[in-house]
Amino acid sequence: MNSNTESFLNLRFFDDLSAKRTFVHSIHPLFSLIVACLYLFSVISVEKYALSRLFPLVLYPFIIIPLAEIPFLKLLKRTVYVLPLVIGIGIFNPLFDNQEMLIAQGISINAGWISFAVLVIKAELAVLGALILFATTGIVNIAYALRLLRVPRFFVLQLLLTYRYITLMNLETARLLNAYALRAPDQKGIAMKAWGPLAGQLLIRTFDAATHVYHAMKLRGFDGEYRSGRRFSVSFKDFAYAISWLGFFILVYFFDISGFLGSLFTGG
Amino acid sequence: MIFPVFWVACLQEDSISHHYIDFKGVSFIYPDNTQALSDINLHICHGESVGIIGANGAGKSTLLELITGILLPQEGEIVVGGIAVTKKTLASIRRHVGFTFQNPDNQVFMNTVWEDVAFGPRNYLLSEEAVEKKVTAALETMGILHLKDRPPYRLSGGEKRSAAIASVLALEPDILLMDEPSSDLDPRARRKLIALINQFTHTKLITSHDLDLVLETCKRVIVLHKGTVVYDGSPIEVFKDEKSLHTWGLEKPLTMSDCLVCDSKKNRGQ
Ligand SMILES: Nc1ncnc2c1ncn2[C@@H]1O[C@H](COP(=O)(O)OP(=O)(O)O)[C@@H](O)[C@H]1O
Ligand SMILES: [Mg+2]
Repeated sequence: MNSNTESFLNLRFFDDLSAKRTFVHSIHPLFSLIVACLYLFSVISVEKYALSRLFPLVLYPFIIIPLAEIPFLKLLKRTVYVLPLVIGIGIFNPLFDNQEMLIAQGISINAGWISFAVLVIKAELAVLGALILFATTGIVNIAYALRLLRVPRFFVLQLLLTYRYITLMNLETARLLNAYALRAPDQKGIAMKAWGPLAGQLLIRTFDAATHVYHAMKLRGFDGEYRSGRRFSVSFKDFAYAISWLGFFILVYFFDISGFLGSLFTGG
Repeated sequence: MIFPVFWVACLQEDSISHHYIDFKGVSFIYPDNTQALSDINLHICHGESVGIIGANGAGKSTLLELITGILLPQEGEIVVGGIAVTKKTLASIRRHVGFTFQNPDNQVFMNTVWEDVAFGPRNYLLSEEAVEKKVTAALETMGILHLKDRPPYRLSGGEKRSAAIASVLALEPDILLMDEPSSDLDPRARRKLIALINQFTHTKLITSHDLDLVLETCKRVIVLHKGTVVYDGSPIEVFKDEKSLHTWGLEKPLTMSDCLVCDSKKNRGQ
């Protein structure tokens, strides 16, 4: 198939990445999940104007991504899907929140712009954190970790099927677009009047494909519990990994590291 | 010409009769009111090899899906090895039945061929060593061990088909149902498939447009036409009858047709 398959929110990308065998991949899924959740919590809890508080949190993706051999730009590309939404929500901040705020000696700026930047960076980092979890731990192992945390089987199954469903929808979209392009070779995009039928087709086809896959799984003895065959045992390195990150997140939460470093340089 | 629909007497019926299949007055209607099958009565013996043929839309896939319980009939009853197919008995029936879908895309869904073939055995809680043995054996049988780390969605149609069949073989089913297994296989893979089907000594039902494959693998042929059984009997008999084949939208197998190259005439019907 052509590039259509590669574009879109292609979850196979994450499937392939999660099959790697790096140090980060070898961490017990439960610990990876907990670290990722702590990271999300740290990012989300940064306050509205606390731009400097966000900088140390950038370290997490910057350390994990190379360690896990994830292609950074490709991953980043996949986070931009949320940007329009976040920008849509945050764009009014500069309009309504126009008090002046001092950011350095003598320089002040509209506070709305700061809260807008904080919002966008927070969203970007949060999505990045979640995607990193998918790329290093893999959906199957995340499901396994959730089961260890006693999340009901039903919810975990829903998560897995939704994930498969999106994958299938991507494949079906690619097929449909190819079929369309082949029969409308001179057209650049897709004609307005074809959108409705195409979208309808896509839904029906995806639903059919998902039903078939679900049946195929049931036929081969699937009982709602995904078994990856990989056996994880908890070892010292899992604890060490989780505790180091926990320590870092606590540090960042309670102390303004970048502010402190900044004041060292400016002597303020 | 009208063929009597006859029942083949089962030789081993009393001794080992677990893996037989019974259709008792089965009708199936799809939600959009398409009547796919009407009043099907069949008895398939333990160890029998049955080819199910018929034009597109005759109801072949529907028939197989009814045996697996993917579909449940509105009328009549299907019994597999003494157990009626109902929602409650599905799990135990599916332990014995292996089904390969008409479209292999429906069947291979894991990230690598290996993972996909291992999916079934793992669900039956085998040890990882046992899983490995079964998966290797199944992949070797299909001659695709070299594809084990490839993502299935990037395989060619034929390779995908082979992977789908391997995933069923790894479960060592007692009853094998294959929906058009030879479509998109190259000649060599098709040869292998025929040899494989012939090695499988348990009960098997194969739907196919490839009548030569049916001729080589099945001792009994059932012809479906517009959702009803119009013939049930020996393959040679029915394949000779060009006129009826034509009415049902079928063509004589190539091996039984006149030779275009050497001009020899074969089996000129009745
Ligand atoms: N999901 C479905 N919904 C409605 N009608 C269907 C569906 N699947 C198949 N049919 C119809 O049921 C009939 C039998 O289909 P099928 O069993 O797939 O035939 P075959 O496998 O012999 O080509 C056809 O008329 C087909 O159009
Ligand atoms: Mg069919």
